[in-house]
Amino acid sequence: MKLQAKRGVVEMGVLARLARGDAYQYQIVACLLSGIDMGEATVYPLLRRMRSEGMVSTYLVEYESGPPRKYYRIEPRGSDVLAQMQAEKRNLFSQIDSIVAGGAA
Amino acid sequence: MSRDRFLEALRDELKDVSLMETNDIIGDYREYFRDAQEAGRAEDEVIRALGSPRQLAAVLKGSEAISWRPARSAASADPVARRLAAIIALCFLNFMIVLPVFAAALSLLMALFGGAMVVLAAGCALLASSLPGHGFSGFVKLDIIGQPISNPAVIALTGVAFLIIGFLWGRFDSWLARWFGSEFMRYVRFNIRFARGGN
Repeated sequence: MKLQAKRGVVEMGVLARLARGDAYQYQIVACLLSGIDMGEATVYPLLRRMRSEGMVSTYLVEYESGPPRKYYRIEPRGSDVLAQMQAEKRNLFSQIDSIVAGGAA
Repeated sequence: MSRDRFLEALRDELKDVSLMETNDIIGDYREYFRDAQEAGRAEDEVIRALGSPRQLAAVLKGSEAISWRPARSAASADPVARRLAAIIALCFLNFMIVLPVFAAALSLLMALFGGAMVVLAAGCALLASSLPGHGFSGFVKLDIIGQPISNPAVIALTGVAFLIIGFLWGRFDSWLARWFGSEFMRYVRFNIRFARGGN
């Protein structure tokens, strides 16, 4: 359960970051690391899976010193999943709130 | 381990993945190392954070497999279709397996209940026939291994024994029925939860 929740958080974090704008792998990881306690290595396999599921796509951008950078962009399917996750999160939080409120009464 | 050693080890672990995909993965990690370096991080610290190449390769191969698992894509793609699938699966399970088991358990409970009632009735009849001047002894006969018993005290004792056995039997049956009922309710709740798609 705990592991499952964490996976969901990382997945949601990636999608939420990409919803704010395209980014390359290191930017995404750095953004998540600043907010979530997670393994740095978990993001890349997730990105690959999301790409194979059509939730994100990639494109290359020329980079002055060295090979081009791969940017990730959120696709409509990814936006749908993000919206669904946000709804689930709200739902879960309101359930927790009602349990906590009920326990206090 | 240096960056190049790490990438070589990763390439080794990805032997059974297509060359195109392996090159893609190695390229992405090369880019990652470069960006981490530009962010001022030491190479060996990044390698430590990424873990062992073997583990990384296992996760990468696993995540490719996961992406084609139908349950997973159904969950993210279409919640309505997933719910429908869950309900159909439940109906199948309920009719093929749970319904026969339920019917068998219910008839066993009823049979046990009937048995308890018969034993209790026998106990009552024996007790009644042991009382003097009631007229029951005419048709209630107790006989043990071919020996007719006429002593009212023995008949009364046998009646009490039957009542006790019938009572315990009935208690056992009601305990079993209650347990069965609560398990059944749990199963019903599981059904509702499952059909709603909560897993």
